[in-house]
Amino acid sequence: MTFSILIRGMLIVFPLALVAGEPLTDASLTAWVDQRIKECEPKPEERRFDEIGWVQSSREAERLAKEHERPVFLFTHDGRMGIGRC
Amino acid sequence: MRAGPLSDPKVISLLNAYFVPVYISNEDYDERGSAPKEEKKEHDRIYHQALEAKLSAGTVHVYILTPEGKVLDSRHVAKAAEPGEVARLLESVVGKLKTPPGEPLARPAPQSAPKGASPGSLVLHLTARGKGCSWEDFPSESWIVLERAQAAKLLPPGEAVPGSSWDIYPGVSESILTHFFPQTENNDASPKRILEQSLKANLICVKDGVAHARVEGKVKLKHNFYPGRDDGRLVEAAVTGYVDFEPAVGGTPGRVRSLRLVTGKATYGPGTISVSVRSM
Repeated sequence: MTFSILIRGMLIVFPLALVAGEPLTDASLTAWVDQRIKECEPKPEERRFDEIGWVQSSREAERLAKEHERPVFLFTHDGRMGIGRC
Repeated sequence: MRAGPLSDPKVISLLNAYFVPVYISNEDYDERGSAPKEEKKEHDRIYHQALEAKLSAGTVHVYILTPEGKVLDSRHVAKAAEPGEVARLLESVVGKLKTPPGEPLARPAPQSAPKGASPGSLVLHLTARGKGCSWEDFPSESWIVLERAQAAKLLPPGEAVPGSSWDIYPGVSESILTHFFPQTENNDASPKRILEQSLKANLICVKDGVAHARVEGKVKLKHNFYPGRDDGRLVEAAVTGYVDFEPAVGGTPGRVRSLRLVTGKATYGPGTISVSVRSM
C-alpha cells in the first residue's frame, strides 16, 4: 500500500518537476523534448479538415462545377485556415 | 468552422460526394492581395450577386453556387457554425439540384504544408497551442524554411568540441522564434515585434560523425490578439531543445540533421502557451 502510494507520487511529481523548470539532465533531454513535441503537434482528429478534397481556387472550382455539374461550396475567411492561423 | 462543421464526418462526406469545395483567404483578395485579378473579380461578383439575391453576404461567409456559377444560398459564419446547419444546407442543395453522388473531384491532401523549400534548405514545422488566451479547438502551425546558408548558422563557427558552446546567429534564431504565438486574429509574424531573444547551443557529444548539442534560449515578443489593436500582450517563453548535425570537415560545411525545440514555461497575455518546432 505504502509502496504503491510512493510510486504514484513519483509518477506525478517527476513530470511536474521537469515542467516546473528543474534542470534537465543531458541524458534525459532528447526523450523529454521528443515527448513534448508529440504532445504539442496536431492530432489526427484536429486534421479532419484535410479529409475534404479542397480545390485550390474559386475559378478552378467553378470550372470543375460546370464540367461535372456539381454545386460549389465556397468558404471565405480571414487568416490562413489550413495552418490554423485564422 | 474548421473545428466545427468542417470536421463533421457528415459534412465531409457530403462535400466530397456532391460538391466542389474551396476556401479562400480574404487577405489574398483585398487590393494588395496575391490572388489573380480575375479571381478577385469573380469574388466580387459572388458577393454582389448574393446581395442582389437578398441573401446574406460578407467577408467570413459560406456561399453555395450552382454548377453554372449562380449564387444559390449563403450563410454568415456565426449561423454556419451552429450544430447541424451546414449539413442541412448541403442536403437541401443536393435535393434541390438533384446532384448525383460521386468521388471527390480533388484528392484530399494535407492543407498545412511547406511552400518554396529549395533543395538543401532546412524545413521546420512549428505547432503552437494556447490555453486561456486563444481559441483552443486546434493548434496553429507555421512552416519556416531556412536556406542552406541560414541553416549553417545554427552550427558552431569553429570546430565541434564537446563542452564548447556558441550563440546561434540572431538573424536565424529570430526567424524561428518570431512564430512563437498561439491562434490569434492577428497573424503578423514580423521579427520587429521581438523585444528579446536568444538561442545558445552547448555541444554534449560527437558520436559516429554526428554532433549532439543542447539548445537553450528565450523569447519575449509583443503580439496583439487583433490586428491593429494594441492590447499590450506579450509572449514570454523559455526554450529548450537540441540540434544534431554533421560537423564541418575541411572545406565541407556542416549540415543539420535534426533540430527540435519546445517551450518550457511560456505565457501569452493571461494564459499559457506551448510551442514545438521540428525539422522535417
